[in-house]
Amino acid sequence: MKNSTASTIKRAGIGLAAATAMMAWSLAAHAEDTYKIGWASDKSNYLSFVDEPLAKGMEVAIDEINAKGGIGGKMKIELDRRDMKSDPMLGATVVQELIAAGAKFIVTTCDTDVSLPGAQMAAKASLPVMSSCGADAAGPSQVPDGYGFLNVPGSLTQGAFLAEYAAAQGYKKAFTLKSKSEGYTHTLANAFEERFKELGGEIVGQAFYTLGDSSYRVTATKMVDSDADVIMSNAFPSDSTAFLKDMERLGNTKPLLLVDGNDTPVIFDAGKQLALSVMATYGGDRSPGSTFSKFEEEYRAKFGADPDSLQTALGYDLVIAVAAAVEAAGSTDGPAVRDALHNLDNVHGATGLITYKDSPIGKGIPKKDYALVKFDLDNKKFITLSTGFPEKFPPVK
Amino acid sequence: MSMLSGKWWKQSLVGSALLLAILLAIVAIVALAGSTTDMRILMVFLINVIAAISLQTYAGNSGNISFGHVGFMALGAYGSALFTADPAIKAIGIPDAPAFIREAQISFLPAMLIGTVIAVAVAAAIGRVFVRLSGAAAAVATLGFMVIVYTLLSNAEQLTRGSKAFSGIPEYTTLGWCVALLALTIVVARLLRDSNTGLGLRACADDPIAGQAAGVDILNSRYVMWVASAAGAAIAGALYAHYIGAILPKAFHFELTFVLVTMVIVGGRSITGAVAGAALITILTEVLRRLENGFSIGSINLSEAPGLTTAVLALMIVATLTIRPQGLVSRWEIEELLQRWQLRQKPQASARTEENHA
Amino acid sequence: MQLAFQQFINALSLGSIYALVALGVAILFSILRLANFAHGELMTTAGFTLYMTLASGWNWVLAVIAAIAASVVAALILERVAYRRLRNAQPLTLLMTSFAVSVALQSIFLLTFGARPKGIELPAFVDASFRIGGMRVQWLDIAIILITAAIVFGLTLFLRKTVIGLALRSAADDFQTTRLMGVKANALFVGAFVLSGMLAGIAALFYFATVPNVVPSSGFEPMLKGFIACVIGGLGSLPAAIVGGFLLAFLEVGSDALLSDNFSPYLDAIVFLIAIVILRWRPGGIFGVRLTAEQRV
Repeated sequence: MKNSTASTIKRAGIGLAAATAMMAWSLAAHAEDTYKIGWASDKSNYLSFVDEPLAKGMEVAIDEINAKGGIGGKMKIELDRRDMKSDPMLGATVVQELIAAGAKFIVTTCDTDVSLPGAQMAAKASLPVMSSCGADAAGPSQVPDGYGFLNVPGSLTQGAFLAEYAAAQGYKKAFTLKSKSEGYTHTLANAFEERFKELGGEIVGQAFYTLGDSSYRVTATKMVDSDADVIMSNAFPSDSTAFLKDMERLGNTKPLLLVDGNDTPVIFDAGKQLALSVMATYGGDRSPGSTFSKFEEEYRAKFGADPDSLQTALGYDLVIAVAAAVEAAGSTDGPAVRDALHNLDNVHGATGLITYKDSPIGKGIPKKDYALVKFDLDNKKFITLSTGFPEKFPPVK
Repeated sequence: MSMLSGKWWKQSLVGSALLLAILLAIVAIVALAGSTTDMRILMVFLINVIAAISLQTYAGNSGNISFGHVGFMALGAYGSALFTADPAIKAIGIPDAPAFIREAQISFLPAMLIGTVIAVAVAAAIGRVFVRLSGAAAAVATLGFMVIVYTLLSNAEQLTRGSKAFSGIPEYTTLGWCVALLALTIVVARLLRDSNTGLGLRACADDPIAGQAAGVDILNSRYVMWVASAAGAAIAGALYAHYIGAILPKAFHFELTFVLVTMVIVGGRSITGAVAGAALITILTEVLRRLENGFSIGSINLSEAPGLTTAVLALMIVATLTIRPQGLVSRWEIEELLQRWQLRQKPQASARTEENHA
Repeated sequence: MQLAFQQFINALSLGSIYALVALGVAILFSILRLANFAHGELMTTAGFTLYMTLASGWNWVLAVIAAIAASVVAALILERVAYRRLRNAQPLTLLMTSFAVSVALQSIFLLTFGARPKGIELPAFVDASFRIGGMRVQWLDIAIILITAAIVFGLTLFLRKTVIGLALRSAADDFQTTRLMGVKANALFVGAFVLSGMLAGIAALFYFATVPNVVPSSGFEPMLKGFIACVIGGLGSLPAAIVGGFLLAFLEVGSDALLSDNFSPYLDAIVFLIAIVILRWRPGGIFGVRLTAEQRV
């Protein structure tokens, strides 16, 4: 037998030796006057389409800070981004690898559930950890000793924000679309339902889909036929584009409420139903001279194009918040940075003011303003209608 | 062959010991020379080996693939984790679960037994349907079972937090547990394989008509393997849960299914094959992954080409299967491989060895 | 009543797509015993071709032809590179090879096009519809249903009346004898892959006319549905694949439309459960295709 187990072991030995050598090399490459952010990111699986634009936003922020000499003018930021393929076990392994490579702050992928094992590993090493854009408000509470953070105000506040908008528009009966495939795809809709009912609304129907579904015709038929006066969908592309196409085909005329996951140019593939739609997303002040417009300028200078989604701005926010925390802590020590981040108050991010201090939502969850946007179909642009934050939202469960 | 002689189990034990010795050597090398990350990879590898051997116990003997065993892993993982997780965390995470689950905090072994019993009960209840199927129908039906388990777990919010991560699971899975349970899995798998049931079943997979003519009860034999393999998969699931500390249904879905099935098919149709396949896939994945990370500093930016490593891995699997359609070790076990190797080394002595065997 | 009819059309249109996918899967299975998991990636190939051609301003007729041609070419490449060497391998090895091919292709799509969904800009008439009473019927659905019927009819004629069709049919029944009769094995395989690739291309057109984006993993879901359809119909038989496709669509639409909202999250499980129950009752599929020794592995 040519391929006997013995030769397999030999290969194992070589592989491990090569790997160990590589680890040593990357450790040596890590200088002392840098602050390393390690990111166990999805580069090749289903969350990579949000992590990709985020990475660009992070680069813009890192360039901006490093151009001024780094954090506090002296400590450069370095980003080490590695693929965890949206696999929880690999996610934990990658976090361990990043810690070994000298990372002082851990960022995980855009789903607090998939990245929880990695987040717990970071906490065990006394390092603060933040999900790139995961929105489950229960996420940070599952990470021990307060090391867990979100980069967004969470699905509960967003659901409530949409519900308050719906009620203000005078809608009385809502039909929701959600999925049990992920936390995000139903907790947000659940929060919407809870707040909408509180405000006197009624949920006349709920439909469920599975992530990756392509046919929404049965659901769309039910929705169009129902007596709902508004449709709330918790889906994101490419599920949401397929859903909106089916709604168009079945002649829907009811207004639609969409969630922040659709804040990407991909959503314009959905076509005409967008004219009926309003989307919740992040981003406060976008006037000239604001942090957002400064971010856009820097982005254009670096990449030669407009940022293609608000996810990029979230990436920028993340680095700005971390840098502010390190500066405030005056140390790169994990617990110190954690405490400083928890006390962060009104830092200017691209999407507006970021406040972690005394968060009304939950420890480790920032308060940021939401924006309501509508769609300019001809120019494929988002138009901000208003910004704000819900008055009341369901408690973290 | 010697297996048909009275003391067939002796060969099983010798083979198990050889396989275990090799695995222990790998463990020793990594423990002595490896980093903490290498140790993690090793632990995941050992858990995967247990799962792959369990899958092989069904697939290798029956000649039928199963895409459903990850479902049994999920049952083993949740079944044990529910009873070991910190009651304080359960009180927040699953406040509506029955008290006997919410308040339970038992040690690893009994919890693992609970998980295994659940998986075995499910396997026994549904097994008759699956053992009658073969080929693509078996593939689709077992995949269906996995999807059903996944869907039920994703919706069991009161019991498992549904699609959200279930955390607070104590990290009981140590190297010792892994090695001990691996040894147990290997021995049981080898005994099952070399028993009359396993032998008859494999004969039927090669030639159903001859096998049945010789009096092999295919369906009952497959059923035995099905239930036993579910138990092994559940143990692997329990180890997984208590290693990673937080589980979610998505972890037991298509991805893990295909990783395990690939390990088994690439390896060959024996227990040794499952180990060899798991080793090869793990090594390939790790080397490619580390190349990707390593080169992110150098001038060739491999990390900017996500998907490249997966593509290379998949193409290498295609190459392996086209060059060796029967898998790395074909249907041979380790001691048979050694024998064959010896025979080839000393062709002049081959006649004598044959005589000794007869 | 109106709602029921609307859902009936939904099921018929969905069933047509499933039937075409199932047919493409069944052709390769009946002749090669190859359960081709990479069938979905043939569809994705057509999808990305549509995206590229339409985005660069091609006429939609040309784009459609290019898409079908691309999936046929992809099928032929697969035959030559991966499957030709495995002609005598175990069906299980074939199945796993096709799966590995499927993963490799998905990764190559990811490398080439990225993870972000790509929009396919079809001409506006695709979305056109007309009204009967209070009901909205789309021309696209009518087209899908009619074209599928035409393809099934044409394929039947092709398999019955042409020499290569006859050779393919007899190969599906008994491959060795067909070869002994002087039919070249390579020609048969190439023929089967061309047919399968064409069906994948056409199914992809319909699929991407209803779904506005293509992603590297687009083909997985329709491929899986095609497989389920084949298996519950009876693997190895072409008419069974078609019936299986429609049956699956009616099962899906029916359970989704009739069951209460409480069951809606369990839909996938329910559909698979029904499929398993069917297989419990008839392990060879509804049409109880005779299992040869080869298939039984």
